[in-house]
Amino acid sequence: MGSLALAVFGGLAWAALDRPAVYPGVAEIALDRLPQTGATNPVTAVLLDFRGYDTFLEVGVLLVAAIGVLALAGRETQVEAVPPAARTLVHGVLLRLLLPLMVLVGLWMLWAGTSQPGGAFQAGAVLGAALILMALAGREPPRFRDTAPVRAAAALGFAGFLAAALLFFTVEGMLLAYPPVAKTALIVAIEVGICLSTAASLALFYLRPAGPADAG
Amino acid sequence: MDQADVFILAGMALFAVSMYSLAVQRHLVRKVLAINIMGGGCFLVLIAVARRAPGDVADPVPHAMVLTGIVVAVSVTAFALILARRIRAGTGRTELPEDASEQT
Repeated sequence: MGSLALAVFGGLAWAALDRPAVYPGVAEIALDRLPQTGATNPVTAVLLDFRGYDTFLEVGVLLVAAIGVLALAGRETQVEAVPPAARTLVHGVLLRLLLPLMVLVGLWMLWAGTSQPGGAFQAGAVLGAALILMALAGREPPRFRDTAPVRAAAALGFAGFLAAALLFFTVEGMLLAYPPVAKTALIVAIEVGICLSTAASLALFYLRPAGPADAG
Repeated sequence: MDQADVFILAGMALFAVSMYSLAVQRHLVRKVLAINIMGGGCFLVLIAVARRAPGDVADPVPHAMVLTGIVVAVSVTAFALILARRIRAGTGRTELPEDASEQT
């Protein structure tokens, strides 16, 4: 098995070093058509416009995984927060400083995504981490034990994207073909849904299965 | 050999090492980790290749593909880990049976 892995590496390395002198790529095509999209950040333009199907189904994968985790984790499992006796200054002071900062950074990344590096998934990851941090420190967001709002948020990205795609279909006659007006607003709206979905799904992935139910 | 080559070779080395690990390790969590690192190697290669685009801007298409890949990898990891927990809760083991006859 070791020699097979070495052979795979050798073959890959040979392919990498034996590359064409000029890598054509698709950057030019993408950058040339950037003004036709509602985003000025090329990665966002590729993600939400040129390769919209990719992102649409990616949000679908995220939702399916969240449903799978919820179905398999069972309702009885709950996150094991740090017991009150073991809480230190870290949980109180650091969290109080970190949480508003994380929310701010997350929202900024979401907003900046259309024009600068950033975007819905990264923002969602920061917000999801904030939720996990809160739960670990025993500061659960209101009614977090009832997962209905979290579940709804997890479904929002896919549902919103699907609604947008169907809306575009009736207007433009093609799924995910953005209508010529308000492109930036539409991209931001879809991104808000994706961001909430990512945050909720990440929190579900981490918090639902982490419980004492099957410890041992 | 330029900087991108170093990253590409490192990504390929990660891929090969974790492929070995995926085949050899028996603990399910180690297998999930191995799949994750395999994906990480692919992402490294894609990002390094994006730098080779002509002009001074990196190719945004591989970047977007990596972003998609990371989200899918996170989803798959979460689902794989919960399956591994269910296997342990059901059978008390953290490994898959060696062959079908071992299954009880």
